[in-house]
Amino acid sequence: MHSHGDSVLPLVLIGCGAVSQRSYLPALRALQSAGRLRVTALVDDDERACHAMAQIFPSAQQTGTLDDVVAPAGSLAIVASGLDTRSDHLATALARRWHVLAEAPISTSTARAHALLETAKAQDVLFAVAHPRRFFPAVRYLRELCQDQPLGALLHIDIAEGGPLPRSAARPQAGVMLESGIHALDLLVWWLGEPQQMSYSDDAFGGFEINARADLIFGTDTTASLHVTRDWTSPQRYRFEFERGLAEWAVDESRQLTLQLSGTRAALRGELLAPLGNSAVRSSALASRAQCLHTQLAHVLTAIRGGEALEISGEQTLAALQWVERCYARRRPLLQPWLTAEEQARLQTPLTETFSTLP
Amino acid sequence: MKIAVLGAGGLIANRVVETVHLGGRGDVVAIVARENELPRPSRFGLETRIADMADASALTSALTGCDVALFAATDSAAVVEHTPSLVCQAAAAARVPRVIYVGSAFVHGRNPAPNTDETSLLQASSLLSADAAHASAERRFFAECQRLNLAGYALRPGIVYGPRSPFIATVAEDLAAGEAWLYRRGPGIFNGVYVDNLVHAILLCAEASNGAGQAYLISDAETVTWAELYLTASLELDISPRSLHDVQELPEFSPSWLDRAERAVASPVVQRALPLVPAALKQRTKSLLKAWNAPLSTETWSMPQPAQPRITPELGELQRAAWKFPFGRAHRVLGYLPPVKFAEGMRRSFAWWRFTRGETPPAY
Repeated sequence: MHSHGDSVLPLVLIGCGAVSQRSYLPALRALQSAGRLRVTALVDDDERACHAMAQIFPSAQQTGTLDDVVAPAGSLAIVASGLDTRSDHLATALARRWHVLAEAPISTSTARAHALLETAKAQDVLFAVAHPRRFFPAVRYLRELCQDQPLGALLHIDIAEGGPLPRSAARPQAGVMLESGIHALDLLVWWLGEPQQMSYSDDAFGGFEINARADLIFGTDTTASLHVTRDWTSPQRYRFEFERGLAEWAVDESRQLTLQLSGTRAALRGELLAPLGNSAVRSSALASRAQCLHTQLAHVLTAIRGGEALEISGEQTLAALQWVERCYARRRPLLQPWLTAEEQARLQTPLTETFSTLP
Repeated sequence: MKIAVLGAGGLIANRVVETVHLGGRGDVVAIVARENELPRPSRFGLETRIADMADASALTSALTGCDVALFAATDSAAVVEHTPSLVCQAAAAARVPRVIYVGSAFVHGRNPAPNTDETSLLQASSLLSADAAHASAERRFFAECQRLNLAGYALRPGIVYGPRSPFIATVAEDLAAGEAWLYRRGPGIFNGVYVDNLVHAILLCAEASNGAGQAYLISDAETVTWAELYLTASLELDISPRSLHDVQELPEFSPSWLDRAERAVASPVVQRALPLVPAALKQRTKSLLKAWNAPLSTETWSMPQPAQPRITPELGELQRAAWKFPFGRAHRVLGYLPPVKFAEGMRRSFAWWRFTRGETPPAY
């Protein structure tokens, strides 16, 4: 793999908008201070966004086009641009033989995503995908509950996630399933493996959906319901029903969980700590959200140096993108009983929803 | 008919977009102030334009080619008061001959005097600041329409409820939290209108051959009490109506500092000075005011308290209402009759609410 030796790794930040400012900025600042990387270029056609990041990284080159960037092969590019330009930016970065850490989804189609991953292989560079939630202690703990079954077998997961876009958000480039639902699907596949059956419906009618529902069956006993929205503030929670208890995770809480054991009279909400050991030593809290974002980026840097295998490769995240494509391919109009019967008819709502068995 | 719908992501405007587009009743141009408001109209792949109501040039451009412009003023008092002038001027510049303004029935107060109708005098001094702003906005609207030779229609709905309605969300959340209440068991009149009924009135205005230059009260057909409203809501939500608090006396409310601040901002002197204040500072101040909540007083030694009724001055006034806003003028002039009954409106509203909470809608 193309490596930049032991010197400080040059980093190109492509897309300086809200995602970069909220998620990457603190980690980049900390890792630059630690001498592990140097932000050498900031790329965004929005001058204001570029300028905001340049306040923190004043020596970085600022440019609106990737072609102007001066960075050697073996640099790392964080690709956090909008979905409309993301795969083009990835293709350019890979052509320059830069390692990449890309926001998900890496493309709007699996065919294009495959092609990008093949290019990365041919160029002998690393292709990492950002899924910071997979680094959250709460998400990892839930994976243990699902797979090791200390609360018995998992019966059902109910997911309600999303809400109106924040005031600063840019024009949506895709429907809510592709832009947001893909992250929930990635977690479901990571926790439970690939589903066997699914049904899917949304409210797009010639445009982009703002409400999407997927019902999935994993194995023989586990079902999942997923509702993602840009329409109205959802409960923002994942609820797990096990044979011997319930667990609830609030979206984006890195180390908080609520548990209720069957037969007990109360639920318990708390913070995940390091395992209890020596009674003289107080257990410390596990990582916060900001710390997880730092961990993810530090892990990619270590992987580039060959220090460890990449935890979330591009190939691993393809499954979620394929599932979004399957959802769209099997799309049915969402039942919206708050519309008039005539409007429902116009939306061609079927009388019943049926499960389709997947090939 | 090509109708320009301003604020197309909002409750009423969104429903107009749905009704016109899905009903094949004309062409819609959905106009929003910012890109983050695009998702709702973007479901339909119809024409969307971005224009802030305060940007005359962008607004004129956005309205160009339309036959009707519709706007509902639902922002802060200061914005509500100044929006009609901006929209009317842009409509005139864009040669849009007809403008429909959705204001508020509460220009007559939340607890209107008996026999109140559109001919009743508006007593701004006795109104809550938001309602006074609507009264002022409506006056400006008609003045601008007259000056610019536009056909102007103003609608005065009461509480607009329905899918995507903050009112329905508040009722549901208050019931779920055990904070819902009735004043003296709820004999007061619920002055509400189901959103589809209001949209029906809007479309009548869009197509009417007469009736411009007047305001129209718009309400549901039935006279419904607050007790009936909450009973229906609790049945829809499967929550016992016995959880409703019975409030015999309303507390005294003095104007909050937020209320006073809104009135001050709406004053002509401050409005003239506002363009000199940087936009970022104005935005930050608005966000801070919106986010501010009075800190709760906590006594660490006290026992957990049962849920208390969440009484606001607005809801207090509304629940004391003894007069239903009539829609006689809208019926006589526009032919308005509410097409959706209260029970059906509530069924649809709570079907939507349960969906937002994760319930799968039943098949037809």
